[in-house]
Amino acid sequence: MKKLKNILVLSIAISAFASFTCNAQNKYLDKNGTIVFEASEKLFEEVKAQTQSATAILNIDTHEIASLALVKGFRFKNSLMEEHFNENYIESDTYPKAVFKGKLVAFDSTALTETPSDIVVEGTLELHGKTKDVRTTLSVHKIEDTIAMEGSFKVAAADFNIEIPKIVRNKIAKEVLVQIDFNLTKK
Amino acid sequence: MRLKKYFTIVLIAVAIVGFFSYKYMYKPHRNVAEEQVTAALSATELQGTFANSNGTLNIFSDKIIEVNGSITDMEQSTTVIIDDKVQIDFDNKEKMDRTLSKGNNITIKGRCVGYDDLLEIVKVDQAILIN
Repeated sequence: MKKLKNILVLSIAISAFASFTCNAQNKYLDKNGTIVFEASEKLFEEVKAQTQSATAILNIDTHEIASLALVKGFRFKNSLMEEHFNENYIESDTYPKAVFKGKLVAFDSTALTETPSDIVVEGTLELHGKTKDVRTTLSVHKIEDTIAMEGSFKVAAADFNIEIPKIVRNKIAKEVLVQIDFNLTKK
Repeated sequence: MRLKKYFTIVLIAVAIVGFFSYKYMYKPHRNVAEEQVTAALSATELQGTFANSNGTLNIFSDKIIEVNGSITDMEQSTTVIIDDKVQIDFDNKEKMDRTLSKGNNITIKGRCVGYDDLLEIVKVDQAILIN
């Protein structure tokens, strides 16, 4: 009886360990993802910022992808623009992060090659206290242990309750183009 | 004659206003190297304060801080992770050239960006190596 119990405990321990290592192996991570957004209007100064420290996690079993960017990590060329962006528009003290949570549609990690393939991603983007559905196509390829994904989508500032004062309204595009570039490595 | 004097005054006024508004609009980015450090603490302490407040705390965010710890991971040429708790993004490649490797104890000065609750790490950017 005692022996049986021992075996049971052991097998539970092994399966727990196995599932743990299994989980660990199926996550791909990027701590230095690049996200660029641009809301420039022709003839006016460019409204563009970039972060190179966005986080992205992809689980290749569940096809779930999550990404987080700290708003204060976005750098503008013009420091005054950066200041206004943080203080007046995105209010980064109150809403410090932008989070995307979603799923890759019809994704098969084993089918990835060095030639880029198009994969649809669906999810929600949370920003400035508001959540909005986002759907876009990513170009994904795999080199050795790195899954690289690139893509872009458009969002409107109004969807996230970001008010743009009248005085600068024609200098900032209503649609903001967001470009992402992630290189996820196995963890 | 009087008109000419008037025009000169207006022209000078416009030039002064123009100069100051230009300076205001295109002021330089903050300089991490010159700014005073608001706090000096270890990576574990820094991460602890954020983690305990669920990441909502922002007494450190956007502040210039000094952090120390040992390197546990090196991501790219400009990024290191210290004590698995803080991610340091160095200001530029030149300043990273001093050969760092895993296990080194370092002290850096940089801008605290905030708390990443996906990875449970604090991010610091525009960092410069002090020690």
